[in-house]
Amino acid sequence: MDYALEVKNLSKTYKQSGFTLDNVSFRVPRGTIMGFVGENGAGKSTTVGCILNTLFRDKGEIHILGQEMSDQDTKLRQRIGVVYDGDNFPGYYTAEQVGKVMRGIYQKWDDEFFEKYLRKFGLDKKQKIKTYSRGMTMKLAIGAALAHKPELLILDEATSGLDPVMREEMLEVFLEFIEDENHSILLSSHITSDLEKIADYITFLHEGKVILTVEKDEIRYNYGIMRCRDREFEALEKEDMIAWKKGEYQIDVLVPDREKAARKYKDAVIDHASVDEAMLLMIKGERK
Amino acid sequence: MNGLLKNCFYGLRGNFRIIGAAAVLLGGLCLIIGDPFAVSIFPFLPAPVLAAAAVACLRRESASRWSRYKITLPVRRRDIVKSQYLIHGICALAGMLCAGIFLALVLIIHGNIYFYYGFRDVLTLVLGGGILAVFMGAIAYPLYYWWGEEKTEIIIALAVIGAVAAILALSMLINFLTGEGGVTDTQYYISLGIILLISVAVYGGSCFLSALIYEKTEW
Repeated sequence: MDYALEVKNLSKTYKQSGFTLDNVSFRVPRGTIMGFVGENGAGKSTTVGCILNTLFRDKGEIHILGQEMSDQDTKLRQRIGVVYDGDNFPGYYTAEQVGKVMRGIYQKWDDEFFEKYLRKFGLDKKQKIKTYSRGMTMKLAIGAALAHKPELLILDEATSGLDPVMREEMLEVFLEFIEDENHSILLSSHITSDLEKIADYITFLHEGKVILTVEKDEIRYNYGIMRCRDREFEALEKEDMIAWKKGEYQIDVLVPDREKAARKYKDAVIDHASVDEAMLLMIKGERK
Repeated sequence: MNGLLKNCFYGLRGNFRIIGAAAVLLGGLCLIIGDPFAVSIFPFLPAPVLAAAAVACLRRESASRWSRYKITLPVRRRDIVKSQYLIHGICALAGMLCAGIFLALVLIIHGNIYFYYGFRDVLTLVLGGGILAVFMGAIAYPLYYWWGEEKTEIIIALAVIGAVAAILALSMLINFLTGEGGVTDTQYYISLGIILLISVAVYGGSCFLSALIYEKTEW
C-alpha cells in the first residue's frame, strides 16, 4: 500500500514538563482520511509539530509522501497544506493579502480557486482578519491550505471551536478534497463526531502513546460494548476484550467482534460502539 | 522570498503610515523653527524608528499562529530570517532617505548656516541614523530568535542601547586612532568607510547567527 504519511517510533520528551511522546507509530494510506484522536494534552499537537518540523524529535522516522522532510525540503512542503486551530494568519492581514503572500510562496497557488472559495464561503477579501469570526478565520485558513493544490492536508484541531453547522461545511470541503484518490488528510481532533463522519482510519493517542489504530468501519460494524455485571465480567476471556470500565452498576467492555461475542456469551447485552465510546473506554478504562 | 517580503511589508505598512505622518509633522516643525539642535537631531530619528517598527512587527505577528505557520510553508528558515534582515535594511535606507530629504529642505529654506564642515556634516547626519538602525537590527534579531516573541519590548530597548553604545565605542576608537585635533577630509571619509564596513559586517554576521539560532529553535 502507498502511504501519504508514515510515522515510525516517534519519540520526544519535554524536559520541563516531563511529557513524553513515546514511540508513536501510524500510517496514513494515500487517498484516505486519518483521524488522530486523543484527549487534550495527549500529544496530538506535538506529533503534528514533529511531522511539520516546527518541533524536533528525539528519535523516530517520519516519511511524508515517501520522503523524510528536512527544513531544506521546500519542494516537498509545496505538496502539503497545513491548518492550525485558531488564527493562522496575522490579524492585520486581509484575505486578499493572504493570497498575495501565498502566491509568492507556492508555485501552484491558484488565485481563481482561492477567489471562488472566498466567494463560496462569504469571506470579504478586503476585510481585516482580526474582524473575522472564528469560523471565518478557519474557513480562510482551510481555503489557503487548499489553494496551492496540496496532496496531503494536515489539520491540527482545525474544527474545534466551530459550531456544528460550520463544522459540517468544513467536513464537506474535506470530503470534496479527498475525492481525488491521490489526496490524503491527517485530521487531529478531540471531536470524535467529526471523525465518525469522515475518517477512514482512526488512531487513538493517550498520554503520548498510540493505544490503537483501526479502520473506522471496524469500530462501526465490528466493535461492540458489552454491558456486564461482575459475574459475567469474570467469565469473559481476556482475548475477547480491548478495554473495560467499571461503573457503579455495570461494567462496560469494549469487544473487538460484536457478533462473535454475542455467539460466545449468549445472554450478554452488546451495543454498537461509537468512536466516542470506544475512545472513552480506552482512555478512561483499563486495557488488557 | 517574494511572499516573505510581502509578509514583512504588510506587517510594517500600518506602522509606516503613522511613522510617516509623525515624521512629516515633526520634520516640518523642525524646518519651520530652524533650531540648530533640532536640525541636528531630527535626521538621526527616522531610520532607527523605522528599524524599531520592523522589529516590533514580529511581535504583531506573534498574536496569531503565523510564527509557527510560516515554518510549515515551503521556505527555508534561513530565508525567513533573510527576508526580515532585508526588510530591516530597506527600513534603514528609507529612514536615511527621509533624513536626506529633510536636510535638503533645510539647506533650501535656511541656506548652509548649520553645517560647519559642509557635506561632511550632512553625510554624518544621514548615515548616523542608518548605522544606528543597522546595529539595532544586528542586536535585536538574534535575541528575538533566541528568547522568543514574548520579550520583543525588552529586545527593542536593548537593541537601541546596544546600538548607541556600539556607535559611541566605534567613534571613540576612531578618535583614538586619528589622534587629537581635527581630522582631514581624507581621514574622515576613511573613518566613515571603516564604520560602514564594520556595520555591514556585523549585520551580515548577525543574520548568519540568527539563521543558525532559528534553525535550532522549536516553535
